[in-house]
Amino acid sequence: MQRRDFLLGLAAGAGSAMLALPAWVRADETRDGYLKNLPSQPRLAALRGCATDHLSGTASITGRWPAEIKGTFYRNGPARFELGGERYQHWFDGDGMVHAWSIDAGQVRHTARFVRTQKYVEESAAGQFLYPAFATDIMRRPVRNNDTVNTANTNAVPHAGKLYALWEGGSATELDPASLATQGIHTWRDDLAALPFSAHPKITPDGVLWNFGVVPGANKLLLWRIDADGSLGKFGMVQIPQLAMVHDFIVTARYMVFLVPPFDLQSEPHASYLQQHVWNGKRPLRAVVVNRNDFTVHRILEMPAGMVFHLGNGWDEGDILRFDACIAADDSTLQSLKGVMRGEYGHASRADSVLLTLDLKRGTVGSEMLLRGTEFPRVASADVGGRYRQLFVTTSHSTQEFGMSGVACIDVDSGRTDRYEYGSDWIVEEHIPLPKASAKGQWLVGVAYHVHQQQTMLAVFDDKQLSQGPVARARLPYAAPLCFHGNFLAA
Amino acid sequence: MKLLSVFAAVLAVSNLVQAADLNVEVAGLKQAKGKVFVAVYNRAEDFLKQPMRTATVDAQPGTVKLLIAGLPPGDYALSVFHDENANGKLDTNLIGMPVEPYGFSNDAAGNYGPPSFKQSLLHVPEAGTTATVNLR
Repeated sequence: MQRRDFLLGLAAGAGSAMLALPAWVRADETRDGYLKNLPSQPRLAALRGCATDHLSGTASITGRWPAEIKGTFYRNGPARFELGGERYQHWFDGDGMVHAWSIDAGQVRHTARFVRTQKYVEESAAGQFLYPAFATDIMRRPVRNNDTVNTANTNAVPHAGKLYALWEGGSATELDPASLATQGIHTWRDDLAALPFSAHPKITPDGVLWNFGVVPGANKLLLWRIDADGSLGKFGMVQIPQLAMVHDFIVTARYMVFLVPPFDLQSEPHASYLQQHVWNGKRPLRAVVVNRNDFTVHRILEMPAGMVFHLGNGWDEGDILRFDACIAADDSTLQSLKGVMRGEYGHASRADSVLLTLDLKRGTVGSEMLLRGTEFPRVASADVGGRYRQLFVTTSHSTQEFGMSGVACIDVDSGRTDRYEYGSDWIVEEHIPLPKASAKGQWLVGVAYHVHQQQTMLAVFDDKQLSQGPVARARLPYAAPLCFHGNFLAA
Repeated sequence: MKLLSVFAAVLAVSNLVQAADLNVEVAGLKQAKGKVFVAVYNRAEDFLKQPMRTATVDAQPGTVKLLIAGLPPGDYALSVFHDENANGKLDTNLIGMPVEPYGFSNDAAGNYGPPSFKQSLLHVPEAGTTATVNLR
């Protein structure tokens, strides 16, 4: 072959290659929409995603950071939304990045690393997404089991000397608590491999970790007790008709309570997990009450349709169960979190904190409004599973804007609320209470993202005067990806 | 006539012995422990229940090759698994999800379950063929 022919051949080859680009190089509607809409939706810049494998920096402090707070605030959230020019279609789809805010002697350092799940490692090597996500139907490589698609993107939970990055559809992923390096999938027993282990375990003051998992297609609710030494204490499985996605639960001295939203499951080829969940407002929201000691179903109670992600805490007194939950009228928030990936934010029904009273003997459910426009409820670690008064939540002043904008402390007994509004320039993330050394009250610690400066900040409040604003702020010189949930490990 | 009938008999015999070789390449093995099992099915009602043929080879990282010799030309489905702990079965968890690597011909995938016989069908011509199954 002459050199000239060879070059012609090469050119011809390049030409035909350009006519037949692989799908992932073609224009991506979600990505194009996002980039186009971003200038008019500055809050959504928080969902750009992180292009580097890790982040680290030292925060600059304003105010006086309480010297008694010493330890690491671990957080987790989806942070890789794009690969090979393709953008995920839902916030919940992204790969998990675990953050560590190390606090010592009034100094605050931040580091973050992607969890090296099987999915993250294989897709990074391939340069494109391979597997189905929560709401994006991708099937370039077949799936072995739930852990093939485990993004480990929802919570970071220290327990019994280990640190777990949690998702809700598969195993816990173990990380090195010091370096955040991924150690791998944690399997408590061979026959429990790859089973759903939710991102919202509850750790009672005795150190026992309670958790659950749902297998909606099979109507199976899985129940886990991990003892204080980190070993498997008990596993159970109960059948719940028309089980759908369940994100959170509460534990009391005698019970575990799950709120099952009224989704009808429709299994169709090429339907994502989210698409299989079809809202049916004619069906009730069900409270499934499970006996904590033997993992049997105690009773299922019904209340009007509603969507629930998060519950704060609860307690039982005889046949009466009381707990708080953030309940919205329908699943529009879940749907609107698709729009945000295209740079659009549509109306979503607001979640309100309510205190529910279940009468287990009569089968009745009562509901009292605590505060409107709330999310991310948390209580002091010493209160988990028992009587509590203080409930900490994030608040939203507008349903027209993405993200929360304030924090509140609700007195569950009196209904009195103390709150602080960061302002419309902020996206406020979950805030968690930490006990004061004096044992009188709590510090409230949480992350907020400044929309215009595109910087992330850790703030600390005194629970006695939340409305006065943070007593100290630790501001990073960069934006850290938004997280969902986290927990503090005292040094 | 006698010649013809002999000729016909020869034809019939050659039909009977007509057999093709199916080379199976199983790719994506992560470790050398255990064995790789291949099952061959020729009827939908037997799929994942009663294989017509099976073959086994020791695992090695990367790809292993197996020969299914002497198959009548036709359509077949394959299921494959890597028995990493050498207990002779594909391990599953409590709700029936496989926890050891497995795969099907055509790399067929089901919708929250195994693929169908039809999705997994591959044609084995008289001259034989090679099929690659990627473990998932």
